[in-house]
Amino acid sequence: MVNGERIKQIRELLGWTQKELGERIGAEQPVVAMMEGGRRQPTPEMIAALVEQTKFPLSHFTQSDPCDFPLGSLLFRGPKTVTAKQQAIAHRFAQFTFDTIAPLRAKLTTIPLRIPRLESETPASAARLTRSFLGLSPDGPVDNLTSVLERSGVIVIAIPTEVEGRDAFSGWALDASVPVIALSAGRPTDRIRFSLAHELGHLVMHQSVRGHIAEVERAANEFAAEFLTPADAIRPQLDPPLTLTTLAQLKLRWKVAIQSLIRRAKELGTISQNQYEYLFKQISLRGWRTREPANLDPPPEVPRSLPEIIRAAHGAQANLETIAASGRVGVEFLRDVLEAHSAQSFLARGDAAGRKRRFAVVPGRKRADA
Amino acid sequence: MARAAPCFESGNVVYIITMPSELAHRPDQVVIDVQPIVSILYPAYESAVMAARQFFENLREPVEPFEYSSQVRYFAKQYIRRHHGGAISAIQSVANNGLKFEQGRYSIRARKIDRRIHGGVEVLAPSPGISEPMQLFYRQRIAPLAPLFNRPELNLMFLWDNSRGFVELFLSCPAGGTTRRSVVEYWWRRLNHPADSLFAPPAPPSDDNSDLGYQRRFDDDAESDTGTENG
Repeated sequence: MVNGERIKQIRELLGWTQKELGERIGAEQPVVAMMEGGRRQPTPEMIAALVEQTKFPLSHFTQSDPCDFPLGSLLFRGPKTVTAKQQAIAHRFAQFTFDTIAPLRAKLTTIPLRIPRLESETPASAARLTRSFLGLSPDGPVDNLTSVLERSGVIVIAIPTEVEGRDAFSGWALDASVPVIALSAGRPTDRIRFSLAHELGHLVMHQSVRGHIAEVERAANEFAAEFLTPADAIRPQLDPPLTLTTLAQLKLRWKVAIQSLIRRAKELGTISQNQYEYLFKQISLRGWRTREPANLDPPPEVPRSLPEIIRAAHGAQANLETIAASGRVGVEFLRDVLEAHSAQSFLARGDAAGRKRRFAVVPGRKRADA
Repeated sequence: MARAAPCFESGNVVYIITMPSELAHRPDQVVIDVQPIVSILYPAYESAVMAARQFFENLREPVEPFEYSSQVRYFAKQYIRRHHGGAISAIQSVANNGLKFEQGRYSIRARKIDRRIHGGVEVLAPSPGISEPMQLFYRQRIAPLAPLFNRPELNLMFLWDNSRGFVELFLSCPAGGTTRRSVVEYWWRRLNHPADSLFAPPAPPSDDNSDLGYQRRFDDDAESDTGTENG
C-alpha cells in the first residue's frame, strides 16, 4: 500500500506542484491531492510512473511516514527571502538525508550530546556558556567548527540545494532529542562557519520560539558573533586604525569573514558609523561584498556525520546501490547527497557558476532541464 | 648595478654622471624587493584615508581636495612612525609632509598619483615641480659608486590613489622630466593589496581528521544490512 505522505515528500523534494506530478504520472491534480491525503491509492500504472519519474524505488513509497524532522529555523525567515517551494525542497532534502541515516545511527554507539539549552540567557551569555560546554577556550578562535559540533552530538548534513538568503537551517529531530544542522555545500568556509554558529544559536536558545522572527534572527546573529569572536578577546584587535589589511590578517586568525569583523567592530564600538560605512564601501568597490578573496578562505570544513554513519553501519565496502536499497531511496538522490558531503563540494569556494554545474544533478532540476 | 662615470670639474661645479641602475630595467625584481614596504604602506594609506575623511566629518564640512591630500600624507607618516618605526627607519623630513626614506638598494618617495596620457603613454608620476632635489630624484641622480658603499642605486616612487573609493598603490620608476608634460617613467606597476598575498594556513593535523567515533553497538543485531559488514 502506497503512503500518500511519501508521495508528497518526494514531490516537494523534486520541486514539483501536484499538477506537474499529475502530468508525469497520468493523473489529474485533484487525484494527486487525494493520493497525498491518503484518500485514494494510485493505480498500478501510476505507481510504475512514480518510480520511473522519481527514480526512487517502490519500497520508498510503501514505507511508514517520514521521521520527525522539524522545519526548525527554516521558519525564521520572512516570506520575501525564502519561497515556499525553496523552503520545501531544502526541508525535504534534509529530511530525506536524515531519514536515510536515522535507522543506521540507531545501530551505532551515540556521541554524547553536549549542546546546552539556554533559553533564558542573553545571546552573548549563551554563546560564552556554550563555548564552555563544548570544551572551547573562552578567548581563542574555533579551529574546525563543523568537527566541534559533530563531536558534540550535532548531526551536520550537507544538502545539494540552495535556499535563497539562507546557507543553513537547524532543528531538534526525533522528538527533540537530536540536534541537526543542514547546510548548503559550495559556500565559502567563512560563511559556512558563521551559518553554523548562527544555527547553533537557534539550537541552544530557540527550541520554543518566543517573540518576533526578526528578534530571533538577531539573537542568533549575536550569538554567532560572540561564539566565533568573543568580545573580550577580539575588541583589542579591532581597535583603530582598522584597515582592509589588518582585517585580512584578522580573518586568517579568527576564520570569520572580513564583513563579520567590520560588523563586530561596529557592535563593540571600536569604529564609528562613518568608518563602518567607509569600510563596507571599500569592500564593495573591491568586489569583496559578494566574494571575499579566495586566498583568505579558511580551510574547508566538511561534515562527516553522514558518510561515517553509513560507513560504520554498512562497512567500508558497501556500494551505492546497496546503501540506497537499504535506505529505500533513489541511487541518484543518494549520489547527490554523498557528493554534497565530499571535500570537493566544500572546495567550491563560493563559485556560483560552479555550484550550478555541480548541483545540476539535483533530481528536480535535472528533469526540468531534460 | 649602477655604473658611475668619473667626475669632472667645470669651474666650481662638480658634475656626476651616472647611468641608471640595471634595476631600472627589472621591474618585476624591484616589485618583489619592495614587498615588505608594500605591506606597510597599504595599511598606512588605508588608515590615513580614513583618518582624513574623519577630519572633515568632524568639521562637518565637505572634503577639500588639497587639504585632504595633505591630511593623508600627514596621517600616513604618523601611522608608519607609530606602527612600523622599526621596519622603516630614518624617514627623512621633506616639505609638505612627504614621505622619503631609503630601503636597501632603493631610495623611496611616496606621492599622490597623477594619472594622464602623454604621447600615447600612460604616465602616473606627478610633476616634480620646481624642487631641484625632486627633479634630480626623477633623473635618477644617485651617489657615485652607490652599490659599493651600500647606498641606494635606484629611485622609486610609491604612488597612492584614492580616486576609486579605495586605496590603490602603484610603483613608479621615474626617468626624468621637470614639468607635468615632460615627466617620463621607465615603468610603473600596480601593486597588489597585501590581502591578495596572504594565505590561510592549511588545516593543522589534529584529531579533527580522525573518525567521529561512530561504532556498531555490540548489542545490535550482528547481521549486516549489506552482507559486507564484518561485525
